[in-house]
Amino acid sequence: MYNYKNLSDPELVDLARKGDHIAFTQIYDRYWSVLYLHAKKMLHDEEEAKDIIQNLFYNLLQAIPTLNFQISLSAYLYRSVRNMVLDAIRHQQTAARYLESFNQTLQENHLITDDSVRERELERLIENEIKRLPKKMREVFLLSRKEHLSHKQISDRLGITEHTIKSQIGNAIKILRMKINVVLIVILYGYFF
Amino acid sequence: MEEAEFKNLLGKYLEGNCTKEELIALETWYIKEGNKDHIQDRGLNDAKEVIWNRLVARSGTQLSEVKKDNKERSLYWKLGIASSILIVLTAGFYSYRAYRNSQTFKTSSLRTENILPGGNKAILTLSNGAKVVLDETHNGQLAKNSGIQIVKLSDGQLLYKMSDRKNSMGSTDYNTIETPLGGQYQIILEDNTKVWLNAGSSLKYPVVFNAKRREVELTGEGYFEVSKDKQRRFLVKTETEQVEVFGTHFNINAYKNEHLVKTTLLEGSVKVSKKGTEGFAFLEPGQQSEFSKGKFQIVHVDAEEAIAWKNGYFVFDNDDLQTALRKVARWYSVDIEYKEELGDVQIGGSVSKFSDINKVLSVLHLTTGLNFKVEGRRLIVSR
Repeated sequence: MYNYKNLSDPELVDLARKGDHIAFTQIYDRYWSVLYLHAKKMLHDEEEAKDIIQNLFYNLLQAIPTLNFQISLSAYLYRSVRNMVLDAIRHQQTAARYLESFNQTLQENHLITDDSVRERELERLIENEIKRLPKKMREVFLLSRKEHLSHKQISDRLGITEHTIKSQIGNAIKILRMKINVVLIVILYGYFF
Repeated sequence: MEEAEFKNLLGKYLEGNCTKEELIALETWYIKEGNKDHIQDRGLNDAKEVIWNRLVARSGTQLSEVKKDNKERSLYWKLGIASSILIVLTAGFYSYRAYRNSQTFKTSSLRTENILPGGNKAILTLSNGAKVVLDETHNGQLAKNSGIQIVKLSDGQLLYKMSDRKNSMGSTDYNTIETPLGGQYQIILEDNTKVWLNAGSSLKYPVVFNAKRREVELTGEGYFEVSKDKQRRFLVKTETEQVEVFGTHFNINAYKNEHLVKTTLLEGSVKVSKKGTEGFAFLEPGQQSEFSKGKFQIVHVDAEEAIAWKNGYFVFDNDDLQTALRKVARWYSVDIEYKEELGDVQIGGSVSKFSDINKVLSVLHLTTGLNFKVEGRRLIVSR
């Protein structure tokens, strides 16, 4: 059994793709909050935001078995939520509210022409929401930042065998134990004399 | 640019049909709009649960094996409960001794009870009359009855599993599960049919279904996901009505203190009939039959709202005030008292049913302008 909290995003996606629903749940746990707060902020509407996030993850659930992730999970999620927000605006009575600011953007003519910069800015915008998360939720989100490499992945990266990694770690632990024992002996020795 | 043009542009963008310049403009604007200062409440509240529950409901069996979140939550809850019980007992012990020693009488002050939302609580009555209290403790096999194992799973579920087919044949044993006010429970019957019971309800069912028909009796409210079995139709009997299905998802609301018996169909097809007569109606998904005074009325409803209770929230959809408050009363186990005649008041809105009662009341206050006050176990409603 996995400790899903320790898995990286790509590992979770891989498991979810194979039908592992606990992996899917972990993906939801990590991302729901920033996506929700972002949608709520853009639409000024709690219920619509809840609807969007529910739809987003529903779509993800349906699509994940056949998705070929060329982009990262977070990029996929952030693009999805932006598109769903835009779709919601399109259907609103009050699209006019956004129109003013859109016209202003056109007038200022300071557009971000670089695709990857826009993508990074979107990422920054959404991830900014972690500031408003309670500590525990923030920690869950940050799990998505960790890159947890299995022994196999480390060995692949360094070009050494998996066995070597295991024995290196094993040796390290042995050495550590010996060192601790020495320290204890020294302390006891020092105490009694 | 005008509004219509703007909406058109959004449409083109979402379809992937806009020019590069238009795309750049829209995406840049989106980022700028997002980076503006917005006044907002911190509220995450129960959003996580609400969204997840709706997602689970919508995705049918895809996510049904996953127990959401409860492991961590119930562990903390259990720890919390264990320690508060300990403290209370200790305090009680010391004050008892003090009382004995001092030999004085103390009048106890009126304790205002904590009004807590409901939880997984029920009582199971076995065929031999023995009663088992199903609460948050003691998971595992509870009993064996006619070749069926009765297992209590965590998170408020009771499972009936066939373990000895020979022994089970011809059995006529019945069990009953009852939820108190403030309780709810889920049961998986021997044929794999799932039933969710709301507060103040009961379900009587055979431990093993007989070869010809599957029949159960319901009081209160239950949501059913009947397993498909073309050979044996499934019958739910309430005091006045009977619902017949082959394999489907539906909700029956048959509380004694509601004047309508409502059956709402989500999936499949059912036949609703009046007990003891020829009157009946067929339902399609999204339809609800409302039965009262011997007559059926079929209406179209948002079926998901009818089972909102099973997914963890109250939905008041143009309910009249009295009906809405009766839902609240059953779950929080309180009595309603109306200080005056209020006339026709309609309620709309939804709120997690695991909220503190005050949160629910504030939602009601906001939508109706009425005042709600809790005194002891009474909910007092006034202008």
